Amino acid sequence: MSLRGAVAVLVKDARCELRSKQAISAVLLFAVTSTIAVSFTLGMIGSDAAVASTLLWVVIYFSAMAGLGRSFAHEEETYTAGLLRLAVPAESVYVGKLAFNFLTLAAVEVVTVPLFVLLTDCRVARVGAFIGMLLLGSAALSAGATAAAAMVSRAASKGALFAGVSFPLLAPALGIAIAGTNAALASSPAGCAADMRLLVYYCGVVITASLMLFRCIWEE
Amino acid sequence: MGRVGTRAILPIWLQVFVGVEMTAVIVAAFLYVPPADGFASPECARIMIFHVPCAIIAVVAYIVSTVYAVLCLTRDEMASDVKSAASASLGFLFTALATVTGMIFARVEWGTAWNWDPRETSILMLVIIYAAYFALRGAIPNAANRARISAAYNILACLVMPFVMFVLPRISPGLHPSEVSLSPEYREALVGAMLGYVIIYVWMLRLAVRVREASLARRR
Amino acid sequence: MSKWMYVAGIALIAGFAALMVMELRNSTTPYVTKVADIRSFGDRPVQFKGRIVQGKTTYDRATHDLCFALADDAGKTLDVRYDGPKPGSFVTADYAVVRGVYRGGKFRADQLLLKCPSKYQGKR
Repeated sequence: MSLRGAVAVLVKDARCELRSKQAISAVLLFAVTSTIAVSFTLGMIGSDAAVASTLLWVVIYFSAMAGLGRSFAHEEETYTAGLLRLAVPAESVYVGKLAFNFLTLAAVEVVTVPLFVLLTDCRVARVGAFIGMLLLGSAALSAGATAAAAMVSRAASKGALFAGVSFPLLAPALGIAIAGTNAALASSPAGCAADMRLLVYYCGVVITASLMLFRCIWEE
Repeated sequence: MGRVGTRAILPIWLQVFVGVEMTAVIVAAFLYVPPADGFASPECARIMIFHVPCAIIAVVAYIVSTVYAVLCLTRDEMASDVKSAASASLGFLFTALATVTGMIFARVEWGTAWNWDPRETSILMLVIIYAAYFALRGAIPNAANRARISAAYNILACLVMPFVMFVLPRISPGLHPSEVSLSPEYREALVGAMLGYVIIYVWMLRLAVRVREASLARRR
Repeated sequence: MSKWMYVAGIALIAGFAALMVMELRNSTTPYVTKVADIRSFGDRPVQFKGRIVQGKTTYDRATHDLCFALADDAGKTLDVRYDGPKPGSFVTADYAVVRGVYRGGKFRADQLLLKCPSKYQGKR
């Protein structure tokens, strides 16, 4: 596995995305409208930290479902997948795509999370922990989603299948992220250090397993 | 590929034995086992005799399916894939039965059919994993790709399950009993049911594998 | 990928899994079985399982204030106050698990779970 190959994949995807802005604009639109919809109702019932963290992560999760599934599918559709298989070893493809998905999700969150906090007037007790939870949770979601996207890219019906296939893989990460963000928002005494560690272990397991399995998923 | 096994699916004496034995268990569950003291519906506690082995076999079937998935990727691709898929389909059946019997019992005993008890939630996760697994399999036309990708998904889902199972008890202590005392009649009926279920599972597995092998051979 | 990398990968996954199990063991709300120990936890939420003491249950339907007593194996009782609707199965339940904090002489529970009777015995 070559790191240079992974970086090359990342740069290529970033360039394509910046050129067309196709996926990112759709996902961003989805994320912003959901955030507004959620904040609208949350404003009416009053924001409890648990409810706020749940709804925030639901918005992020569905944005991930909307946006991250395309990362492999468009390679298959534009027939560049074969070239990619020849040019770069399988593991590098995975790492590159993983990095790209993570950055996409992070870019979406940079816009939606401040919007959410602003619109719901959500009190963030520990900002550092909050941002840390967001980053770790996004990393966990990206890890599972990238593996699922690769598996689904060979399948016939791609859109709905991706969401269904990635849910069992991402469900624990989602649960831990929500619990941890709840702790960060509400400044509970236990703090979210335990949840952060759990997310790190989750990422460790999923990324290691995906790296080992990726050759089977990717190669012809 | 295309080799169909020719050994007997299950020896005749074992088929007769399990038929007689399970009939005895069913009769015993209703006539021999006394109604349990202290339950909301003492008669309904008998369902435990059928529900517990069902749930155990559901998990065992999943583990068998994952073991064959590993074998599929490391050793014998198509033959192990057939066994993995067969065990998964049986696991789905047993999981569905366990969920239904559990919901009946929960409705009678605790008032509501679903309580988000950790065991209930993990069995629901198992149902979703099976559903996603079969959806994925159904969507990949190429047999070799299907074998590898579904095996990879099976393994990933299995690795993620411990996170689900350990995270859930943090949410609520759970309604399922942790220490159980059984009268001798219940114990005998339960052991009998467990034995019967195991033999039936092995029988059905061999049958399912044979059917799949035959249909694959016929297609060639 | 060479065999060594597979071995390393599996070891890594096993390591992460072990870390996760340890983490969860430490972070679950401590499960206390003796009333005497509860006080030592101070403000930290604990879980306590005890036998419901008959005859000491009061329920104010208007304020959803359920007060009852739980006894541990040593016979010591704990006064519990639970804010919430009285579960239907309270009358038939024999054990209850409560999660909450011990404050001002009473155990204020935020979660109440009634244990289903686990004696699969016949009526004697």
